Amino acid sequence: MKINPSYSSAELTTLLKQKNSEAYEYIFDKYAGALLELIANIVPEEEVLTTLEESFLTISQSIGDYDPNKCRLFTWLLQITREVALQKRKYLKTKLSSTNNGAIAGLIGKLNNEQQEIVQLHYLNGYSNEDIAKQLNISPATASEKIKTALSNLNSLL
Amino acid sequence: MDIKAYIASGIVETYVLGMASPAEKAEFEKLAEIYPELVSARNEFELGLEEKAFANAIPPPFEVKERVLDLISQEAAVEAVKRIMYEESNPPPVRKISSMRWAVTTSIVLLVGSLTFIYWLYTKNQQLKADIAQSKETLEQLDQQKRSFEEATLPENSSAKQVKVITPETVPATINVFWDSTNTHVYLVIRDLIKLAENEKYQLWSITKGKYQSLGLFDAPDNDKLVLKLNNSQQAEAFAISIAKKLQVEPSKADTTH
Repeated sequence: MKINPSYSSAELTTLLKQKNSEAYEYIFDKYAGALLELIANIVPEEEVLTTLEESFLTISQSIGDYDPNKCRLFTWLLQITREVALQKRKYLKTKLSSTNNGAIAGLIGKLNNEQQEIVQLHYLNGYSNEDIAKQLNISPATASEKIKTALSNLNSLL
Repeated sequence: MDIKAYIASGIVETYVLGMASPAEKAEFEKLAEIYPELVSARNEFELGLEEKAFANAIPPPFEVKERVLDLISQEAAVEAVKRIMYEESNPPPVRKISSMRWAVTTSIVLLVGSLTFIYWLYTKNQQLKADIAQSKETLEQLDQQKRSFEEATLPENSSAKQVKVITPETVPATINVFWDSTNTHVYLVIRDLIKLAENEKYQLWSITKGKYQSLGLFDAPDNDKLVLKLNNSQQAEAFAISIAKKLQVEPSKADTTH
């Protein structure tokens, strides 16, 4: 069993930008499980692993854009993975409904029913504010406010 | 700005989860530079989310990891090759700009140089034209001088030699003959030639090996000097002048001496 090296976040970012394979192995070991949980709530089960591979490839291709001053590495990895998974979902035209399994989906599941629905549609199903507005028969601005209000509760639920 | 209300609006979660619009994102990042409490709120939510995510995470199968790392290293290799190819086919923009600047500078210098050279050539050409015109004029003057000189005087030729001319006793002329040995020209300079009667003319003779040959008739000059330029291809040994009456040839006694 290989012992994971310890990196400072600045070191890790530099090594990832240099395409250092040990650094990629490190982030895979550390974050892949968490990312996989998110993916499983967005795409069908049979597409989860390939979507994970595609996410890491996109991470490696986009790492130049990552700015450690703007967010933590995991936050950025989560954002990239969600985008890749939502694209896959759109491509597959999946109507998969989300579960409450996994860290983020579980967190969302703790919201009240209305907020839970809005956040699931937005965060896990890739609905835009306009899509949600149509679905709930409200204005896009109101939909946007509702999403933010729902999300503001997440912090307290952690 | 009420930063507490801003933080409480849900923008931190929206931003961290990647759901903020580009405008919201830009505003958040700008405010994060000003308000440390906004950064703290962001960090707090990020760390909480991260801890939660790791808690129950199930690692993916080992072969997925191998495949992912393999793909990334392949991609990195392709990227490296692409980068080399790109750099080879496209020099860095800075170099491009500087070489472009260099080319422009060189062009301007060359243009100014060319224009200066053309102007210099033009001036030089005008000068040469003027010089040529002046030279022509000088040449014409010299030619005229030469002609009048030839008519009036003798060529100052060292190779010219004097020969005697036989004249009639009745003609008290002073005649000098100059023979240019470099060519076949002979110059006769005749002075003090008296005027003849209207039906009389002087006749010039060349004497070659004792034989007389008429070279033509002439009148006494209006001025005191007459220069005759003759072609002496026959290589005459002496010349003679006689007075001819009505074109009747009547050579006088000759005394051929050199």
